[in-house]
Amino acid sequence: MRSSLGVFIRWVLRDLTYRTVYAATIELDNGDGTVDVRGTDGALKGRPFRHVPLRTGTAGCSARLAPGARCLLGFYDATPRKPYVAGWLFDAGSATVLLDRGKASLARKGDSVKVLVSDGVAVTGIIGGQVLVPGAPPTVVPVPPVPFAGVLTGFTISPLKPRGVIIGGARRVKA
Amino acid sequence: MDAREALEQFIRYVTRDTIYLGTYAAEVQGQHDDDSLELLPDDQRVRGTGLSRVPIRHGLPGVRVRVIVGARVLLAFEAGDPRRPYAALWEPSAIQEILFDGGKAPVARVGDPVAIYWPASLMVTGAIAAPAGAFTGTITIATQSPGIIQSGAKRVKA
Repeated sequence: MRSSLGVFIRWVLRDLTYRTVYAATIELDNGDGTVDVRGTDGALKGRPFRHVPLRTGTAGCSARLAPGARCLLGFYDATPRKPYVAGWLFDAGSATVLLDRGKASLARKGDSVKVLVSDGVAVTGIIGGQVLVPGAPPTVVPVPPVPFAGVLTGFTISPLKPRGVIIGGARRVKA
Repeated sequence: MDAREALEQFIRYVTRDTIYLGTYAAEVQGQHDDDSLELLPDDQRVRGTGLSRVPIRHGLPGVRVRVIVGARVLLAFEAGDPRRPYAALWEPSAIQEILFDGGKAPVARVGDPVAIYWPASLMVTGAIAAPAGAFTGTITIATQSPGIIQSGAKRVKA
């Protein structure tokens, strides 16, 4: 009697199954903000769910997921027809995070930079060559290599392929 | 105890594990190298002596966070199972680090410095003020030049 009453109460409260979250694994990212997942734990172990919307804990963030990424599967309104995935375990390489729907990769300290140089760059080094002094006839005056420090304005420099490297960055945000 | 109280007590007993369907505020007491947490819940019903090696469930995939002792977080249980606790949803507070995809390099931002390295020798042409004239030659730039990142994502900041 006591046992059957317990079973009855459990039956009455059967929607409790959908009031919690379960471990699950991503099987496919559909590319439309939904994923196919399979429950790996508890009452949902082995059960597949298709086109489950992705939820992130941070507004403005989304992600593209690799198969095998581990998450939690839950249900809106405790209804099995309203599943969602959230709550990610960290796995390196399991996701590409998109901030503000951005498509450009964030730069990091040490990344290379293409430098676009304009007039007025201050440089220090050694300069040498020749000067063509106007006259009749013009005179070529050699300029031996001499130390130089200043700003080159109106000169053409080639090949102009300086290399830039980012040497600063956020203290606590790394990628 | 009347019949009503007895039935209520019985139902409470039968559904006693539903306590683990809820979420509970907790304080971080420590963090292990695998990022799992030592947590002390506020609620006496789940407090005990605290929970050990509680994994973090992140709100964003591919993210790893190193937090500080004293940080506040919600504690919940997978499948309502007390053996499967997890931590998620943080109160705003300082962190040690947030790492995307396990990366170790700081994210660069507008205003961060750039070092510019020049090729070994450059051809130079131009004009030197009168009485001199056209100049052709080479310049070897010995020093690296400074630069600053001037543009970046409009709404993504770090």
